[in-house]
Amino acid sequence: MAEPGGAPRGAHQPVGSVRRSFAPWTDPAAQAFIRFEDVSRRFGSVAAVDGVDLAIYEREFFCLLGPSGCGKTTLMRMLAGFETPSAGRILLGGQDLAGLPPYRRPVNMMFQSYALFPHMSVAGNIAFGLKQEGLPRSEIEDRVAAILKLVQLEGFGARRPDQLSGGQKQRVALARALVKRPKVLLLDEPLGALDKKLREETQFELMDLQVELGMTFLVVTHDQDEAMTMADRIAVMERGRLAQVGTPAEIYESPATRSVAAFVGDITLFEGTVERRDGEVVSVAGAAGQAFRVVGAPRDGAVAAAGDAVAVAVRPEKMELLADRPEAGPNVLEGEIWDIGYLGDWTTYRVKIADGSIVKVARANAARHVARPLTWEDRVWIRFAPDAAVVLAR
Amino acid sequence: MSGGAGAGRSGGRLLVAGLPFAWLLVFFLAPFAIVLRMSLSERATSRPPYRPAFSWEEGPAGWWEKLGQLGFDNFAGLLDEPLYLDAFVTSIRIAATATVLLVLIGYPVAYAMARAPARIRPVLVMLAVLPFWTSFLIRVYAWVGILKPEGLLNAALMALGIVDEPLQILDTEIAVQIGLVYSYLPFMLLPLYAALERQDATLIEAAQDLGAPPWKAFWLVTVPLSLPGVLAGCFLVFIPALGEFVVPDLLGGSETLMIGRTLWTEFFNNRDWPLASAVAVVLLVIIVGPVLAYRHLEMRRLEAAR
Repeated sequence: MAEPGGAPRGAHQPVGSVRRSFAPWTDPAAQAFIRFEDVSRRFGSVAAVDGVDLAIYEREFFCLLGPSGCGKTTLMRMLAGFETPSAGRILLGGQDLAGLPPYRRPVNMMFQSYALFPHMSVAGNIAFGLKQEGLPRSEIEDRVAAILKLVQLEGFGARRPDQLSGGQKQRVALARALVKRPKVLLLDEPLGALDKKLREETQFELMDLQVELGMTFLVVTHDQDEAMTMADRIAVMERGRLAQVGTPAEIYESPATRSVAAFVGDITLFEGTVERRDGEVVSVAGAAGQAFRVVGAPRDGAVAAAGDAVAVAVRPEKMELLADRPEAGPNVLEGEIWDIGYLGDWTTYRVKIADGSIVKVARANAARHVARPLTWEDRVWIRFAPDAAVVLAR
Repeated sequence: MSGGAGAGRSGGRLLVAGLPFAWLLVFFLAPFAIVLRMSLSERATSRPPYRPAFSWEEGPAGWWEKLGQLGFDNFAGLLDEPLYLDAFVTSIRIAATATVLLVLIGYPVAYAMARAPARIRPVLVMLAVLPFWTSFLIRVYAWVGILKPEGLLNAALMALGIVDEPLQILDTEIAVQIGLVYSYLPFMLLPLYAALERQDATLIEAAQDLGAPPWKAFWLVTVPLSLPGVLAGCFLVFIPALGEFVVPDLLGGSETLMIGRTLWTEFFNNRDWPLASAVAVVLLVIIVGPVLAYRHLEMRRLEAAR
């Protein structure tokens, strides 16, 4: 591929190995590239962003994830310079960005609506940012041609934006931001307007591109699958605050709060009270009389002591569904199959347990034929291992 | 089975499509044919004061015969007498100047309206249209009171010590320009506002994000995208300003010779209907030129947009 990004290329390694070893956030000596320090943004009496502290590292693919209205877009727009923080400061490469207008910031944004200039050709759109830098004509032409090749739109330079498909527009918007060789590329719901198939393809293209160019990507999305697939780390936002920051696996396997657990993936929460705690092992009495035993302390510093109200959270794929009564013990629930959703690779069962609540259990369809398939109204037992569940204090 | 309903529906469609055409035929083409006939006729001391070039009694065969010996004397007369040529040139100059002034004044106003909080925009649009609630004639007449030597403007200028003696503004071309700009401002504002208001604000953010300072983003994005609105406003303003009668008559005095007044004089003072009709026909031709050019541009734009 051509070389459109201006990032240092000497240390370029094969994609896989870079990705595997990339974890600067675990290195105490590593310097954050983007730093939000106690940043708030209030609109009237409403705080869209409320005291956010966040460090993003160079070459990181970082996702801000949350439902609409959680403040993720406002946070990104403050970095781009379209919103001014009401309090706190934002640093990029050690430099405070306060007072720097959007057109002087070394970041570029890909807008959710793409915001392509309708009166300019594809090439004109991409050249727009380079012309603002006052580059010589020949260099502009070379860079536009190179970036068109990179996003696989060679020969589309003379087209107008309204002559393009949704996927092509998305590529032009990406190219227009990339061609400026920004230190950070901001992507606001970059795949939101694409259909499912194209979205999945484009996710992987974006990831390859990011590693290839050695750029820092900051993506805003409400789509958890998108965030999980692409990001090195995810920040889950809720009502203007950061609920949890971590790798996709940390967010999924060790959610910090009930709401993070519920927002990312499917999960069943069993409310209960801590009975006893022996080091790592927490015994919880379920509200409906179940007995749970979970290995691992609750996250986020909230220590569960006897008497605390907590939730035992279990993902659907981490539970077993048994047709025969197992040995009595903790983490076993009896119920009745209420609903079945066959997805091909997986089947999800909604099981109604004694207290009337529904537990979602997923089973991989490893074999084509099952001798005695589970069906509606079957009596079943759910069982999970002590390390399959998480205790959530908040 | 559906034949009757289908015929009814297509009949209805024909009616809907046909009505505007019928309207144009009856109220535009037919009067124009009458004026055209008049312009080819000879002046006479009769009632009406001309001898028709064609009459119903002769029938189509007679018309055809007459076509060869038609007199274009009235049109030739327009060329012989420099008065008419002057009036046309002056009208075009004044209307063009007014159009340029209207763009320069209207654009910032329309831009401010389009960028105002969405809540108060309808109020601003209503304010722009508000003058239409009083008679055009009365509003222009009010300007006489403002501009005359002992009028409000001169009184204010003298009270402020800016001038020592009253300025002669009334009965000059400046007064006509003021009157035209005042009268036609809403016609410039509304299409400009419509073009600016529907513009996507994120385009400006995108331009700034790509390194363009606000003034450059405005010049490279806002202005080009509003050009159709500018063009529409110019035509809405230029065409009626060209034939304007009331403003030059009330504010321009006897010095300002615009085509509308010439037409009036020929019709009512000189009772030379054929000559006046010839003036009207030439005026129409002058106006049709830019309209066709505009349509051509518009078609090309739509073509490009597809």
